[in-house]
Amino acid sequence: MALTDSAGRWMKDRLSDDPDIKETPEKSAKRLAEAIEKLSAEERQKNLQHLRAYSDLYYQGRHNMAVPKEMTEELKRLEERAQRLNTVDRARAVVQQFGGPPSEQSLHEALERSQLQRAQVQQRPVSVEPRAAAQQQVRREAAGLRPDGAAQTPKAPAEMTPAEIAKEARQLHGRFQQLSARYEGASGEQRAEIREQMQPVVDRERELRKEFIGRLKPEVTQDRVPEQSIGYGR
Amino acid sequence: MAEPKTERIFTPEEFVDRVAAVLPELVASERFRLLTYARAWADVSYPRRLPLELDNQLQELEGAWL
Repeated sequence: MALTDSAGRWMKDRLSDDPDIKETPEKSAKRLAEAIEKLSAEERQKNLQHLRAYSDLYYQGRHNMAVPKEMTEELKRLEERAQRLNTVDRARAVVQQFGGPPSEQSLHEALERSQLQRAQVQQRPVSVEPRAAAQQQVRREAAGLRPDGAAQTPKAPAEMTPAEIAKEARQLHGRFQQLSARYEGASGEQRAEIREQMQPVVDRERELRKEFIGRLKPEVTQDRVPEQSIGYGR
Repeated sequence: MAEPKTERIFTPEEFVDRVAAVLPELVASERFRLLTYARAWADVSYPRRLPLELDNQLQELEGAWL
């Protein structure tokens, strides 16, 4: 039956004179598969859309039949290949942006920048304008510091009563919500700073959660620092 | 433009292991940066398909730290 269908299509293709249909979609798919690596993400998308439309036109239009399963599968394979190639292209740009292939130096630089950033936070002056002072207060609280700037050693969760854990978790969640609200309207640079402030809140909340697993309200245990967006991900 | 590196380049697997070891010492922005770097390096090194074990390892780290 398949052979008869195929022969019938071949015959009709020979006799038809449609300027929009010049070859079978299988041939077009093969050509696209060969060229897909060299295309840009935009061109890949454009060619795939074209192939899908061409396939519909050929089978459903000229031959009045459903697109064969093999062709649908080939289109799916090409789509997946294009997505993977797009991801690799973006990954290549990220590696380039971060200084090329990673070595020991990449790790040293990250450690150095972290130490520098921590030192800068600790060295910030205390007497500042009212608004900045309020911001620092939030930052100090998030970092687990007392209002005078001295380090406040948080109580170990194991030594806390369930009520104390629940109270602190609620406070942390409240603080996280305040920071989230500020994050929404913040610029790129401010966002990085707010993420830094969120991290100790989330870390402490995670510590409490481990001790009090399953007994905190779900909304209190789902605070996460928003991901930094650089246009590349899984 | 970044200076060319003279040190030995990590394989994606080595880099993920080393990143996992230093993550606790980093600030949040650097954690994000290194984990993005590690995934990007893995994707560039395995353009056809990411090995499942490596992908799982990266996902575990991302889930725990991001």
